[in-house]
Amino acid sequence: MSQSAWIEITGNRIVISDLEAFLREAEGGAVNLFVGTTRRVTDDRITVELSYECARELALAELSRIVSEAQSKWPILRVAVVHRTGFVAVGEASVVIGVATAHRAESFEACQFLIDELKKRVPIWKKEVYEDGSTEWVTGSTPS
Amino acid sequence: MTITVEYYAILKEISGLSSELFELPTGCTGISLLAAVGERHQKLAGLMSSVRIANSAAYLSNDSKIEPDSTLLLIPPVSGG
Repeated sequence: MSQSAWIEITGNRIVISDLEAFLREAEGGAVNLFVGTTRRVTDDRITVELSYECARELALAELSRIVSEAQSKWPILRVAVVHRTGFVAVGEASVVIGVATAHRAESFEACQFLIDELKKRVPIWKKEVYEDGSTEWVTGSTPS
Repeated sequence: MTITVEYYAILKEISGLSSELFELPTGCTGISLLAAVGERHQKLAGLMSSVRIANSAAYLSNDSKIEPDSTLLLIPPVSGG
């Protein structure tokens, strides 16, 4: 991990305050945080938890590439991308993206880019676990 | 040549396997590998058109030649976030 980028895939609960502190240390003018959380209701079905699986080594390599692309597009002071795997209960964070920049506009743009690219390209999969005990892999996108 | 194939997510669940070996003609492409997987596991055949082949460092072009003795990951459509 470089001093300016925190990239992690973890089986543990994501501690958002640690990421925020890391981003604040850049002493820029903006810290933008996106927190993706497990949704309770999807198309009238009740989810109790999501189960995440990843191809770890490739996922970390792809995350590093996405972060490098963002760093070349925007003047990013610090960036954090942390994704959780295993079971994630409703309401908990499955992914947190944070960007520290000098000004707010580029922090929003970079944050949006990072989550959009993560969802399109990074080999992570989620399975819905419904309240009736049934499960279903979420329809994904084929990386281009 | 012998290729090790790793399955993930829905492919792992349906096949019941994390990985297995395939014997393929030397010089064949990823497309041949996907066809071989679909032949061996008929329940996976319909999914092969949306699968990307990768190694542990990067996605590969599905029509590129497979290196002997390589370990290849079969990546179904991704759904992180």
